[in-house]
Amino acid sequence: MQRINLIPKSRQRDRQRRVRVRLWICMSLCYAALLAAACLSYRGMSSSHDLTALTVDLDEKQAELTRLEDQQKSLRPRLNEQKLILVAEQSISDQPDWSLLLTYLADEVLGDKVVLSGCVLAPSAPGDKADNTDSDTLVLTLTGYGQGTADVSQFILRLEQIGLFEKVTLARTNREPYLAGQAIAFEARCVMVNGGGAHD
Amino acid sequence: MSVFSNFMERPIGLDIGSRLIKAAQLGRKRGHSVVTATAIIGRSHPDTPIDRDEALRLSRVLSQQGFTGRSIVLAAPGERVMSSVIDMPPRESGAPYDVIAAQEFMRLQRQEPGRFELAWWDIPKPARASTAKVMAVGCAHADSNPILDVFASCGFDVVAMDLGLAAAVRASRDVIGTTAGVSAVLDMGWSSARLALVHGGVVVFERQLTNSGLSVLHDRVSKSLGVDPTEAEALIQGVGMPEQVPAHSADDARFQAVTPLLRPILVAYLDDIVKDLVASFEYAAHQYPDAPAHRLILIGGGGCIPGVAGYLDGKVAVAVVPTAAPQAMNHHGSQHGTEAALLTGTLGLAGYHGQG
Repeated sequence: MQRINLIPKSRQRDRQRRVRVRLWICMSLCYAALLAAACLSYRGMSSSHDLTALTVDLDEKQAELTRLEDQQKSLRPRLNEQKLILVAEQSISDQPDWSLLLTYLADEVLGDKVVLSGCVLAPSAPGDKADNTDSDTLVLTLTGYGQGTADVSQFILRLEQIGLFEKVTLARTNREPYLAGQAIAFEARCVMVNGGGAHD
Repeated sequence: MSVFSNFMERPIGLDIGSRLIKAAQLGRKRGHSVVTATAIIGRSHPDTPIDRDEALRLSRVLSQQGFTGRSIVLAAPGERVMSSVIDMPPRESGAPYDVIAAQEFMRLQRQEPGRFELAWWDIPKPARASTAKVMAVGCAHADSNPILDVFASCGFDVVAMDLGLAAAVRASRDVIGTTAGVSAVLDMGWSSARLALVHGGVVVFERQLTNSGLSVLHDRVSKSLGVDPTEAEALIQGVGMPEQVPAHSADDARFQAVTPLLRPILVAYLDDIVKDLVASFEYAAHQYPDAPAHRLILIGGGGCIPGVAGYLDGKVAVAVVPTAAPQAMNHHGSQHGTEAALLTGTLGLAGYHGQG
């Protein structure tokens, strides 16, 4: 049978609008509730999934850490050894090559009439006012024999002339038996500033 | 009221009569429509339009009586409903039926455009008619708006304003059946009686009968017997037509004393109705000679008067049956004839959403 509705059309339209609004509100609420439920359930599933993944990852990292610690332990003796080598090499590399000085003295300064019997390199004593030196001054003490006094003097002079020493002094001379004859024994003190030559 | 309730609950059918307000609500139980609540409430101010105070009182009563929701389907005020059968061009012509129906209705009912609401439907083509016909009913906005405003102001959601007789036909479809003949539904209300002829499952004719309201009968009884309206009602409902007096009232001396006086008044009242009924059935026979009228269903307060159905049955050439409780009402457990007669139309209103 025909559905009869004698409510004025304007009122019917108003009511339909109200019903539609209510329907949309209802649907929106349902949709929001469903969405929230879906999000919560997904989050629940996702969190358990993440936890598993994190646990696996943590285990892997712990294994790797253990492996690295073992590796570190095995490398430590080698490291110590290398440190020692490094320290030794550094200590060597910092020392001047005194053999060069001796070679130079023997080839260029000593001459034919003077021989060296001893060579001592030592820092000057702090209170050594006689040498007019300071704490970082080195003193090269050369002992030997000369054929004559003049030869010793010439030697001292040449030492001074090479410009390597700040001050060269003849500390002692005396005649002593040498081989089958007599020779002039001497002791020369050569003062030089550590790391540098004589002042000009 | 929650947002969801509007979509879940079925509306309350409300018939605001001159003296009584009838309410009913349906629900579903195991796939069947069942009556979940009914109420018959006396009017605070009989014979006046319902006002806000009365609607608020009604709202409270409905809540107390087990009705749920605020959606209602109202019966259009019967005495204000206009109806016409309108000739139309054949459907095949493609003519705009909406426009033609509205224009013809305005012409026949002397209405102005935009001042009334119209509903119309096809009716079976009469045998001798060369044109199609539609049944149109309308209600002026000036008549419907005050009622709608009252209910809206009280928080009711008026889903529809239906034709009371169409709702009664809907509720009586089990009784009317699908036979080819014409059935009639007579609503004997307080202010007027209205008749609907049903053919092919649709109302093909609707009219208000002259001088037919129960108020007319009560006035006559009250004046003739010198009793007050309450006493008059008790006599009418207690005695009814003499041949059909209920057994319990035969022993009542008071009723026996007034029976000879009451009968002529009732006969005169019913004979006026019979005249209109006969004329209406003749109209139906003229329109549908192949579908003779075969049944008259009585509803409303008049249908509850003892012996009325029997008297009318002897006067018109159709079987007169008092209202049978609709199927839905049987589920509700109510078999009381009076209640069924009063609530038939209201149950139809309550089933407004349920119909297709």
